[in-house]
Amino acid sequence: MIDVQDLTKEYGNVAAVSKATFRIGAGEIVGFLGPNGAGKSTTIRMLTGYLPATSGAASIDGFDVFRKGNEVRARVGYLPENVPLYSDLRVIEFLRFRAQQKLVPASERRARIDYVMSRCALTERQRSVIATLSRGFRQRVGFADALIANPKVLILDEPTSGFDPLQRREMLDLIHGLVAEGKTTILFSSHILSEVQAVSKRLLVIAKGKIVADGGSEDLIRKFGENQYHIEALAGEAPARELLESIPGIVQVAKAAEAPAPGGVRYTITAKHGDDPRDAISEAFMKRGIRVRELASDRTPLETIFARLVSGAELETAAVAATEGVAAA
Amino acid sequence: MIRNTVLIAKKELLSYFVSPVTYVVAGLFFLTNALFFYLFIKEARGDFEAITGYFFSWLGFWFLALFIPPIITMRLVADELRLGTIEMLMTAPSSDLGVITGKFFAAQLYSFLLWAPTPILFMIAQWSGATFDWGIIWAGYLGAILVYSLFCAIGIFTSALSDSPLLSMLLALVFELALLFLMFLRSYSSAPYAEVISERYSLWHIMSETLLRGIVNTSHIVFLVSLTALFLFLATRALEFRRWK
Repeated sequence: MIDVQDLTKEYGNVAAVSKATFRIGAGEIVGFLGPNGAGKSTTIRMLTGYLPATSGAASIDGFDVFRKGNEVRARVGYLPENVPLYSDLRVIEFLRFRAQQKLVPASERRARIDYVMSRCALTERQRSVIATLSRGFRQRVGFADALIANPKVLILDEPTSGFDPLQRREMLDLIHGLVAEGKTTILFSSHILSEVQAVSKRLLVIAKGKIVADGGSEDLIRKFGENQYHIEALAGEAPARELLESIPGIVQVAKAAEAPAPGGVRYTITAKHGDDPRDAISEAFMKRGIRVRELASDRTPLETIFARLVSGAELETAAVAATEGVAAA
Repeated sequence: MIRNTVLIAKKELLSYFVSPVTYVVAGLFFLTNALFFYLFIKEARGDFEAITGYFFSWLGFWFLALFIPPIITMRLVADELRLGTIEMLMTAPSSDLGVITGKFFAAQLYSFLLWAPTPILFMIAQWSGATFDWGIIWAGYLGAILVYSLFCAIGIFTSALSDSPLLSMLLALVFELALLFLMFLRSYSSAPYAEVISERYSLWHIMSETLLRGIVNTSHIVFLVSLTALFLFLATRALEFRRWK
């Protein structure tokens, strides 16, 4: 549904977005994650046809974003960051204007406006002048506007920024509702990981204008996290360590920071990428008659991975290449 | 494009309708214009026929023409840029030209509505004994409509140049004054083109020397309308440029 190839935007010599490539299938929901200033809004503005790209290509529903702008615009519902609205109009006047502008047929207009207003809980405030609305309500008006032409693709730029937790919940529920229906392809950006995780299975991580990761949270953990485990066993230090080191696939064995129970040992184990050595470990320990009290995977939390990905985009790409090399060897 | 123009024009008229500024501007216009009319009648000293056209070419007329259209148009595009609503507008199926012409027609209609009740002033004066050449009065109105349209187009162009309404108003004044005072070129230069430009293209000259003698010169109308179209075209370009830079 959304197809982006080497999309680049340069301001003078500074690349705001460089060679972004990704593909989003119909009905998919993707969280576009990155710190402030990473290039999220620039990418989104290019996708919605507001900003021209320096180079690269993008298409939505098969229509070139830069050549068939109006075709694309008719298919995309877009909620810009900061939700710009005509503050002198009433909610209903604004939505009526937007419905007309987005070519909603006259016969369906009334029903469509009523539908988006009830969906975004705006019906009671329809006569309010937009200037008098609170931040949360303004965001809902923007969301109603994005939905008004029943778009195939919904692009939301930081839909929850500046919200209190309750408003955030409401907005995420709105998005959830659409996801459940499964008719809309959604790309939404955020700099808050938990928010993206709450709604979408797939994450697209951008940092310093580059797409640094793309996949489900499991994929990202597997790809970018360390493959670490910890074990606690009732055994002497030397034999336990020796035993662990003899198991193929284990790269490193280190004493765990946490103190073991009396008479036991506790180790942190790093295994090769993609390997799960737990079966081999328990088997080996059982053969020797050593009692294992604890054996578990220490998954790197997604937060840590995200923080790492965005803090050193270039550095991390190199590191990933290196670890992948290790895994392949 | 036309659908979009009509839609934007309707939206802008709605915005005018709900804005208190609209009514303050209208009130000031009516008050000032009536005051100028009073001074004009006094100036006539009974000989109304001779100075009929003067109402559409003296300082009072130009004072209002210089200020009213920029005040009406200054926020039309600048506010969209300042508040970011332009992004919303441009990511819906629309065209830059549609946006510009829509805003232009709204401003134009508003300025025409300001002038619409003013023939009453002449009627009242006539009812109390003055006599006018109505042909010259209607020529004056034609000129006023053309000049206000041109100044609205200039206002929209300068509004698209910056996101500050005040700056766009000042810029519009610069353009307007330049066009108005082209006639003084003659006084500063003896080159043949200076004479021609002063004669043909100064707004002051067009209003006072031709229209108000009751001579409706097609070339002058074409000139004013083309200039209006040119500024609308430039406004479209300015809007486009802001996105492409």
